[in-house]
Amino acid sequence: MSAAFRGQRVPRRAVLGALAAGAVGCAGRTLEYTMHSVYDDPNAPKGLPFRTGQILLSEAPGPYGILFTLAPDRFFRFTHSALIVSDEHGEPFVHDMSAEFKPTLATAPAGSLFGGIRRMPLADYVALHLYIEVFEPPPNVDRDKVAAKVRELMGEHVGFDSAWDFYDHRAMFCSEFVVTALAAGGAPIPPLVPLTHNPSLRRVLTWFGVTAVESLPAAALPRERRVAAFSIWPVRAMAESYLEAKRELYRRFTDDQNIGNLLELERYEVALRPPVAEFLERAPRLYEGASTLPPEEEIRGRVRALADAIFGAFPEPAPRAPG
Amino acid sequence: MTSPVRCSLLAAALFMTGCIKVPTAVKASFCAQPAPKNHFGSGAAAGSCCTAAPHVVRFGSYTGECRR
Repeated sequence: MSAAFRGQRVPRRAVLGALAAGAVGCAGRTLEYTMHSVYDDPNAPKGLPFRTGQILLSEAPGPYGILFTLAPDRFFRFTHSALIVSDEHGEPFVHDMSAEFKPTLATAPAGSLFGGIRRMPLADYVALHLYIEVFEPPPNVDRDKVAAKVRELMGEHVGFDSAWDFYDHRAMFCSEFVVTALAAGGAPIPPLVPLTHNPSLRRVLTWFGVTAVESLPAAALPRERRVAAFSIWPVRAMAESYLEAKRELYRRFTDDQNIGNLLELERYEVALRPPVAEFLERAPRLYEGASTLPPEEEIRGRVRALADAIFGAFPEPAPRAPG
Repeated sequence: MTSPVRCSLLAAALFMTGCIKVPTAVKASFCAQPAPKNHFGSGAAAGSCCTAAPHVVRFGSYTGECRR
């Protein structure tokens, strides 16, 4: 749903530089990863596990991942999606719809937002993110047709759709691009998801140019088994804890909340408020050194306890009485 | 006749006059609410929000500065 906004404030080079490199090799070629490979599909065929048609769901650092997490009317773990199309040598390239801001005479952000289909090596794409999961597409998808559709859209120079309008394909947002390409290969188109009713967030989204009332969150894409996962954290439990932290932010962001409770206009920049930044930074550390992936409920419980400690208690609302 | 250099300068000047305005309602949305209404802490940072909100915004890699 989101654009992959460039120019994040997180010092990624410093973070990534401290991480050990993993490697995936195939037929004499090596892809160097500056992030940790935290999941390898045990059922994957031997050789390079990446191929055309695979879906990437990802989370980038910074405030926009949180902003877009809050946008749908139910929680989704990821805010950005992309597609792998291998080149003639079998090298996997990631294709996604991204955008950046350029100075113009526009008085609203959408008027200065420009983008289109971006193509980059998988390793480069991975390094832009906090966490990425790679999935196989739905069964029986014709991968050649997917690749052909991606090339067709690139040839048409389809631009980025800041309005998140799924019905107008002259411009596309990230998951619209992915689902359109997959549909060319025979994959089903998932139902759209209504956007938030939170008045504060609606105002901000409208200012950013989002006029749709329903859209297609990245994590709503149809997909099959997980092939791989890459994380800036050394174990997958830490990444899962980060995603649970996002879920907890979503749970607390009820319709009476201001988006300003989480984000601020800090001089000229949208930023996470310090308690929210602290929460997102500490949540993964709950599982530092974890040798196994704990049950989801356990991670959720510990993340909620951390949120209670930082933000104050926020119990689950009591279920409504019948009748 | 305008030289290419002057054209570039003119274009740059025009770009610099680009100004993203933050509507009042959007500024208000970026205000933190006070406790206990705020589910994300005490709202202690509320003072840093909308009253001093700029008419100019940096959003991602974009910085727009209003010269008017």
